[in-house]
Formats: sequence, C-alpha cells, structure tokens
Amino acid sequence: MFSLHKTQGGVHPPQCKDLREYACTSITPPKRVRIPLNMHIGGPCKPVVNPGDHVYVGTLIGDGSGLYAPVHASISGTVVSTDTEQLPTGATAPVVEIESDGKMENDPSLTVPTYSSKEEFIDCVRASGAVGLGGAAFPTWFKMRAPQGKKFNYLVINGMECEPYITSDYRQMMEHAERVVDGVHRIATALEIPSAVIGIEDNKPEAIEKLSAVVEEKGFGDKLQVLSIPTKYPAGGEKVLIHATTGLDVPAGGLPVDVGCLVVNVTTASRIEQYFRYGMPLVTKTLTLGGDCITNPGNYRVPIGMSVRDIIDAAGGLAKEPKKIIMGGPMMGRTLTSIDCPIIKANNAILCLDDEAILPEETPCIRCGRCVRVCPLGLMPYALDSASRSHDVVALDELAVMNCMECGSCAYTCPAHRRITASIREGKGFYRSEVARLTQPAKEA
Amino acid sequence: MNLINEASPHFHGKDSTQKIMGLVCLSLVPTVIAATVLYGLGAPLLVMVCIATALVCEHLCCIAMHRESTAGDMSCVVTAMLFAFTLPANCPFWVAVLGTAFAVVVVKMLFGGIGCNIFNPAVAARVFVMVALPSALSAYPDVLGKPLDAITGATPLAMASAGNMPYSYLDLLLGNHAGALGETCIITLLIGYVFLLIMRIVDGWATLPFIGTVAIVSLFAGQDVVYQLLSGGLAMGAFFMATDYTTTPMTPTGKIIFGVGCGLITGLIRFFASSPEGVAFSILFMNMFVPLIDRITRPVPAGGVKNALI
Repeated sequence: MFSLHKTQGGVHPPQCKDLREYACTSITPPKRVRIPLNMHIGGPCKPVVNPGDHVYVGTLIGDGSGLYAPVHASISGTVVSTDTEQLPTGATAPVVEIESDGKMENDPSLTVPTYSSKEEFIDCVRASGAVGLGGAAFPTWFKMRAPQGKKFNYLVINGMECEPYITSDYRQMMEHAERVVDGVHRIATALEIPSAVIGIEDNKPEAIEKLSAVVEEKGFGDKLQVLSIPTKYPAGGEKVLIHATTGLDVPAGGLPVDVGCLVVNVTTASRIEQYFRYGMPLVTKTLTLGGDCITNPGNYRVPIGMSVRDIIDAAGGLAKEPKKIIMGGPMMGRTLTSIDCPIIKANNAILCLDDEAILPEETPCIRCGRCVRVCPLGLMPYALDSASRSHDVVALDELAVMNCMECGSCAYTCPAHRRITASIREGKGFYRSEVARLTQPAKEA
Repeated sequence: MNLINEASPHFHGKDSTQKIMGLVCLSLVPTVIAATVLYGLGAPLLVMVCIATALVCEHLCCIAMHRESTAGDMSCVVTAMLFAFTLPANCPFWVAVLGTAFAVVVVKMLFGGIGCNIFNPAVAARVFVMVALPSALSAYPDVLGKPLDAITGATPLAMASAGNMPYSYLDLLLGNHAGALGETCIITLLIGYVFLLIMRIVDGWATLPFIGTVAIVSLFAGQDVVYQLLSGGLAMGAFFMATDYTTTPMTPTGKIIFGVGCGLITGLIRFFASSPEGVAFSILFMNMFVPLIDRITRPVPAGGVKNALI
C-alpha cells in the first residue's frame, strides 16, 4: 500500500536517546497543579469551575467554542483560583489552580463513550481533550472534520519521534502497542479512511517489529501498515512525513487534508483509544526527563499542570545546576526562564542541559550553501535570514517564508552559527503583520 | 538558577567557519611543499609574506571599521595562499605585499568583509598585479637544477599558443616546468581538492563542468586537450576558486552554469584572444553573474509558493 518516498534535506544531530529503555513510571502526584486553559492552538477555554469547587480527576474545568479542546482536572481536590495570568510563552490565559485532597479520585460521572456516526465520533474525540501530542497541540477533533468537498484518503500516524533525547512516543509504542494499533484502527474505521500507515524511524526497530506483530495478530494488515523510515531529522515533521509515506506535497498555505491526509501522532491515537476504552480524558502526560543535570532521568507519567519544579523534585532533583532547561526537544523546544511553569498537554520532554546546549557566537554568513542543502522544504534559509533581518517583506514573500516549519536544520548545520531559524521565525511574524497591513482595504477618508 | 533563554535549535553542528577555512589551508599545504621542491625556498617564503600581510590587513580593516576582528577565521589565510600560488617564486616581496593588501582591503573588506565580496579576492588581486605591474610577472623562474639560461623560461601555455609544446604530460602533471609557484604541480592540487571533497567542504558541481567545457572548447579549437587541461591556472581555478563559497552560486544548477561559463570564457581567451591564459578573467567575469544565477536557479519549495504580495 504505502512505499517509502525520498525526502530532501535533513540533518543528523546526535540522537541522545539513552532513555529509550527506561520504562514509563508514575510520579508522586503534586500537592497543587496549575492548569492553563490555552494548551491548544486556538482561543483559550473559559473556566467552567469556580474557586472553592471540588473537582475529581477528569472533571471538565475549561470549555470553549470554535477551534479549541476542552480541559480537564488532573488531580482531585479544590479549585483555588481561575485567574487569568501571563504564561511563560508570553500569552495570557486563565489558569485553573487546584489544591490536591490527596485522594486522586476519578470523576464518578465519567462514562465510556459510545458513537454511531462519524460526527458523534468526532464529538467524542473533542470531549477527550485530545490535541496533537507531538508538540503541535492542534485540537485533534478539529482536523478530523474534512472540509466540504474534501476527504481523507490516508491516515498517517506519526511515530517518528525524530527530536534528539525524546523517547516518550517510543515508550508509548513499546508499552501500549496494542492500544496504539486499536486506536489507529478505530480512527480509520470511524472516519472511513481506506488506508492507514504508521511511520516509524528505523532507529526504533523494536517498535516497528512490535507494532507490525500486533497489526498482523489483529488481522488489520489489509488497511494498516507499519512503515520503517530512514532516521533523519526532521523526518517527523508533518509535511516531511506525508511526503515520505505518500509522495505528496502539501501545497503552500494548505493543510494535509488538501492532499487527502490526516496526520495524527502515535501517542494521540493511543490516548484517544484510552478514552474510548475507559472514558478518562487527557489528564496525564508522559514525558522524557533528561539531560546531564537530572539525577534520575527517565520517562515519567505526570498530571497535566504539575510544575516543572515539582516534577524534577519528585524524580530525585538536580545533580547539578542546569544552564538551560528546554521544554521539548533540543531542535524545536522552548527554553524556560522559570521552573515554576506547568506542564501542558503537548509537552513531551523536559531537558536540563549543561554545556552541551551553549551555542557558539554568531559570525557572518559565508554563503556555503549548507542551509539550502539541508532545508527539508527546499527553501533558501540564508536568503530568508537576510530578508528577515532587513525587514524586506517582498523578498520574504518571494522566498515563501510562510512555508518554513522552523525545524532548525539550517541553524543546526550553519558553520557561521547564525541563528537562522530564530531570525526566520521573527521574519514570519513581521511578514504576517505587514501582509495584513498592506492587503487590508484602504480606509475611507 | 540562572537559565539561558534563547530560541531553538539548541543543538549545533560541530563545523565552524574557522574549521572549514583551516581545512582549506591544510589542503593547500602539499602544493606549498611541491613549490618548495620545484622552485626553492623562495616559494614558501613568499607564501608566508602573503599570509602575514593578509592577517595584518584584515585585522587593521576590522579596527578601522569598528568591528570585531575576523582575522582569526582563517579565510584571509586562504586568500593569501591562493594569491601567492599565482605568483612566480622570484616575485619581489613588495609586489606580493601590495597584491595581498589589494585582495584583502579592496576586494574583500571594502565590500563588507567575509561573505560579502563579489569577486574572488585572490583572483582579483592576481589580475590587479598583472595589469598594474606587468613587469613583475613577466618572467617565471624555471625549476631548480635547470641550466641557468632557462631561469626565465616561458610557461607551457605561452609556448603552446606559439605552437610549441616541449613538455610531456608527466612533466605537466608534476609541475616540472616554469610557472607560477602554486599552479604548476597538478598532482598536489588534485590531492588537496580530493581531500576537500572527502571532507565534504567542496563539491564538483562547478569544477567538473569548468574543466569539461575547457576540454570541449580545446577540442573544437584543434588543440591538444590534455595539454590544455594540465597547464596554466586551470587546475587551481577549477579546484579552489570555482569552489569558493562566497563568490560562486548556491545551488547545483547554478554551479553548473557558473562552471560552464568559466570554461567557455577560459577557452575563448586561450584560443581566440591575445592572452595565453584566461582562467583568472573567466572567474572574475562569472563572479559578476552570481547574484543573477542564484536568482534564476532558486529551487521551488516543496508544495510551491503562495505569494500574498506579488
């Protein structure tokens, strides 16, 4: 059904996947969680609980409308506050703070969901609170609704996990292989998608073997295939994975549905299946706690909203003071300025790094062309870098700045150590605002 | 806890400009050794003079331009070595100093320093010296051990254009004849180039079309193809100057266009103009077209472009 297609560009950063064999363990639940209500792409949810209310694990605490995913309590206890705060990302959103009663009781009103149509299935996925758990945090239910006149031909499951260090998806595949496969099958069946593929990098042969065996055992082989894909960063980027599995290119400014693809992260699929089996929405997250500065690195299952400080402490603390703490992987993750920020749905790693994350100083571009060679989307990063720095909106337009997915390959490979990705990211922001300004109809005098 | 806050990516490859330039310098060392064997101690001395001049000039320019000094990135050492290679081993030091200073100050730093120059500094300086001080470069010393009257032997190319080809292919390959100190020994230049290919510092996208086009033009002009490929500055130009990062195109297609252009102009000058050698002029000429070539060979991004403004 699916065969491997060659992708362009890419880099080979050190994989650092030493934690792959560390089984996922639960962590002592914290005394307090702070759950932001904007853990997804789209508008933040509004709190549906008030300070003083008692909540259980799985109780709905934030709901919204439009592009959103509902938010649920991750511990049982009492709501302390629902104030709007500024988050480390710079955005402001309501944050529901819950003080634990120490019981971790599940909400008794939770029931196993049932559905009889595509629309009901999508409503259930929405109710599960699922978002893209690979890091994008796009509400999963929203992308399952194919727009009028379009349909999904392929369900592409992203089990690539191409970022260095992170092993949470790998653990999910190894520990819940059966649930992953059932989840994928359920999504494909419910949405009437004729064929599905699980793409896994070939540096995880055990996962490929395990999932293939489960697929065979369950007799899903006619519509579900596990595909081994050469290890190369960013092979797990959505557009890159679609190309590698189907040979199709998502048009500029378009969505995967434009080429008939629905892309779902492997852990997202597994968590959706979990919801359909047990009725428990997304309230915990598995993440890789890694880096030289962690005493007991490993893969931990933590309640969403637990602070990074509490997680590090519960896992045994820091061996030495980190120079950089990254939420996510080293290629696309975000640095933390304070360790008191909460874990959100899309986090899949906390890395406490020492000297290995210190970047060398920037020097002038020598036009070596490496960034052009490694760009997985065929862009000209060096030219985008200079256009971004000089605020040249026309050049940014010509060079297709919005195609950039900020994978970081160009900056990784640059021998002049230029912060190409950071500069293009700023260029995208500038471009967006300029295009809005330049294309809006002239105001009447 | 004092945490660094910066944008991704947080990992970085191990290469640096300094390392790349250092490797290029290393790739030129065999040729310096060959020049010492062929032309005596004057050759390495001249290379040293050029390197020292380049470092001083780049450092002073950076001071004058109120910038952090870029002399340490080794790129000016590459320029100095390549420029020295184009000089006869008995070239007066003041000519070498003047030429190197021109390369670094005028061709490189005045255009904005590393990465910003339009012309290859070594080639431009070579042409500058040739035009401004023709007497300094008119006589090329022959290799050591030849009879005294041969000390100002003409180069093989000059002789070939007069219809006289006294050297065997082996002599040409080993550099066993009169010529610029670093241009003659094809073997060591090739060793250096292959080293850079293996280290993945350079590629063959411009080099092979350059040499190939010269071969084809030689064939059509009724010349001895092998003799043409092994003499003059072709090897050095195609190996080290047509692979310069800053002054050549970015994409493989662009590099092929650049290489073919260089080859055509070299051939035209060698066979149909008054000068016996055209490599330097052809590279400078094609340098001018690099921004244009880069523009017309821009790759189409995966998924195409959706323009909002044009």
